[in-house]
Amino acid sequence: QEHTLNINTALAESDPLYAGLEAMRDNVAEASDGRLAIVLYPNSQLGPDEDVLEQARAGAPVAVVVDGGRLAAYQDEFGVLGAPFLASGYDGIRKVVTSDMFEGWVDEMAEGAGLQVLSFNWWQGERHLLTNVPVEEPADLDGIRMRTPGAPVWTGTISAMGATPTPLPWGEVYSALSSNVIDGAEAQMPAIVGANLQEVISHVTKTGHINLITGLVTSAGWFDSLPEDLQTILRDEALEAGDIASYGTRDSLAEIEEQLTEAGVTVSEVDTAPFREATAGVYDDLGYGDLRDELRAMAEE
Amino acid sequence: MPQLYRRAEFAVGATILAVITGLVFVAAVMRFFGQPLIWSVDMAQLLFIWLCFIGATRALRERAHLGVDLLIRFLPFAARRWVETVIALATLVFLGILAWQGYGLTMMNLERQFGDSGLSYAWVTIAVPVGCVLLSVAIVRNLVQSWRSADELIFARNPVRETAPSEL
Amino acid sequence: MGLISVVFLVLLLIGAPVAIAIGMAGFTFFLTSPVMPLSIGVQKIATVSQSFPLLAVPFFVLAGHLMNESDITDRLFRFSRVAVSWMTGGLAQVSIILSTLMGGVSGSAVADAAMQSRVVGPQMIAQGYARGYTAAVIALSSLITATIPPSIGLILYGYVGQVSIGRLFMAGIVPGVLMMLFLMVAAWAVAKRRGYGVASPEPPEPGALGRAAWDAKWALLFPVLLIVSIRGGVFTPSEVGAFAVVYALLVGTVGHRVMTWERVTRAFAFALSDIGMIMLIILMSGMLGFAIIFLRVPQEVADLLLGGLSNPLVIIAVILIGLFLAGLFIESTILVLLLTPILVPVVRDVGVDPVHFGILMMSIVTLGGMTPPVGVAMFTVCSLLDTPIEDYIRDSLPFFVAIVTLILVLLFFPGLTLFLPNLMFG
Ligand code: NA
Ligand code: NA
Repeated sequence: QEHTLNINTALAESDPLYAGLEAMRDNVAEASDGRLAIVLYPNSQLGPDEDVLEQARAGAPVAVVVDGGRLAAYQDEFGVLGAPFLASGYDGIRKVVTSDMFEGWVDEMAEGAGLQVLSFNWWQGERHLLTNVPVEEPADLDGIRMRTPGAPVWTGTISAMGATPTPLPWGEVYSALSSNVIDGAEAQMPAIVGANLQEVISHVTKTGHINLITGLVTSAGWFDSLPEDLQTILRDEALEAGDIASYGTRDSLAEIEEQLTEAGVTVSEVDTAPFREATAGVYDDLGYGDLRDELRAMAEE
Repeated sequence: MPQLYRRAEFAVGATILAVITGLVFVAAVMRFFGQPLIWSVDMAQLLFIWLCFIGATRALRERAHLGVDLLIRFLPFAARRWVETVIALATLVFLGILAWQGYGLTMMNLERQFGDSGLSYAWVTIAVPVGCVLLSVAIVRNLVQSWRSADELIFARNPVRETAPSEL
Repeated sequence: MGLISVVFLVLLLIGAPVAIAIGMAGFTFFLTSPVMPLSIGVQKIATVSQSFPLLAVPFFVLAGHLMNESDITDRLFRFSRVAVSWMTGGLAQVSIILSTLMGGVSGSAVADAAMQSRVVGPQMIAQGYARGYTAAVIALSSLITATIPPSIGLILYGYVGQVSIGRLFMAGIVPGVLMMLFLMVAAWAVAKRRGYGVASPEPPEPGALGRAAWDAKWALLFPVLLIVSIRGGVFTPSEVGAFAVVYALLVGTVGHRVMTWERVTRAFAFALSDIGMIMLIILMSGMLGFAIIFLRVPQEVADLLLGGLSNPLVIIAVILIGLFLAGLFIESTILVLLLTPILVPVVRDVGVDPVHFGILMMSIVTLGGMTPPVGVAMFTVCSLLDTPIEDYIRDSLPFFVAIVTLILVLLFFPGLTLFLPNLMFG
């Protein structure tokens, strides 16, 4: 082959999203007649997401599966993708990340930060609350030390929902829950079973407070150096593989819920309206107030 | 002057070590009482690399870095000093490239956030070039000291000499 | 990879500091790679420092020095002398038991080895134990720490390999205790031949033992407090070292009333050098680890090993031997991250419980840290105790044989490992 792209992801090979990456590898090889090869690195083998973004900015042929929060430092608008109750399900959020407005941010980031989005429709599921007590309304979260990433959008959301946001590395969550260093966590379904958290929690409350959409981001310098036909193949196949990955994730959700129930975890639906109301201010705090209504309308079209 | 430099280095290193310990300890205790500190462990993690390089420089001056002397310990002192001199010069080149590349990497990635703290990750990356410069200074100092002395090496401790007590 | 190995071996053999040899070898990859920029080498050095569990290293190194300065060590050893001086190789036995106790609070063999090099090592040498034997006991017994929960290595294995961490934790207890017994026998056998620790062949009177225990109460309470503070939900295993530092300071000032500004300063001075020496090796290994992954070395090795084999026992044996060989050169955390996702499916196919395999794998790759040519635990202990590596290698052989024997026993009797998790989780 003439070109090789090295794709890094924090996910394990067993994650439903990884099947999408494998499909992309095979489809790109076929569509390019073997001129463009893709090598996959699961479990963050090339480093944390931010490291791989830095490698990409230095011109290395690497790509990484990242959420919008990681990109907000380079292009502020991407941060809004992690804001609470932005859109419902994959279909809702897909409308946002395939819109013309989104494509405008993509171009700006390639120009300004040297990072090229290949596609941003890699859906990992909605994030739910994991606790050892039943949760029905925000008041039930009072005093609960809930692990969350430390970015303002996450801590702001969790604290608006009523819990005490407690940052901790994801790898420490299992032991921290089992020894009550923390009282709860929040995560999407595949991540719960991926880290075996069903062993150390008793309740999953399906708030879906954050809709976790991620994208494939590579080096703009390397991307621009590709022949134009390969550029097109790469972006088209990335979009298609994103759908494969996301529908795969969606299809796995029922099975994961079953697995949770079998492990003795109570999985419950909840009226999300009070949580939604409680977190309305998060957008304004982060300066995304104007985008909120526009994007929500777009998602619900 | 060298005495003053060593004292300053120790003061900074020891302070960082104490602060890191305190930050992690206090963060855990506060979390236990339901008042987690968002930035505390992040700050400890940021300072960690500075601690590593300041400690490594100190260890280099004390000739405490570990090497394998399986073969070369049978060499006469003069030959061994020459071998170590070659290693030292190569190491200076290596550290020089790291420092230059590290400076470039830092400047290119000023936007990169450190974790979720709102600080720039440049505070971590720049520790590598600064650390490489500190290590280089220590190597040059050891090199000069070795060639001025009759029995002192550059990296390895002289097995005949009494181990010097830790200088502050 | 050939060039990288040559650079590393040549530098090592002409006596370059290990950190420099590892760093230059790893940097060779970036110098010769057509696609990976030089500056990413710097990034990989910086990234190593961003591992939260690694913070346990400075904490336990400092805690060890502070315990020396706060009289904890002396009292602990007065107690141990009274308690076990009648046993052959008494202080070595204490080091082994202490590692087992410490295993319940520390997830890192290197941190345990570093701490005991300060707490136990000088006492052993002062009592006439050979440096090589002392270093070997401390390094090899730190392996117990990696098996007994909490173990950072097992957490990583469970996370990457999608294996229940709860089961892994329960599975590590019996092998950890067996390891203690096997090492005690090995320590006893060598000590008997060399005449270590047979000063007073009479077991102590209960009164004397009680007084010595009361004198050492703060030290004896220490592992209990660490366990309580983790189980009680105050500290994670990565954080508990910070508590160890604070506790050592408190005991020195309030409990034993011996701590002075001068002693604190001295502990910090020693700790600073130790941390710098240990961490520079670990930081510099970041480039080499990246090169190994990027060049897909583990995958190629796995393909090579499993190419034409079909017998399950042979496959497991080949995997374990391969892990052992890889562990001789590569740091255990890197190996766990790299090989777990490749090996766990193979092992499942062959019909071996991945929990059972995880304990074997962790023991073997962590053991690699205690062997030449590259072993962080070995380097740490040897340099902290000022021990020639050849002495260490020679005197570690009996302990090494004990561990390998145990691993074979665990391999052929899975019930020993799986009994507790099955009891607990069904
Ligand atoms: Na020990
Ligand atoms: Na342990």
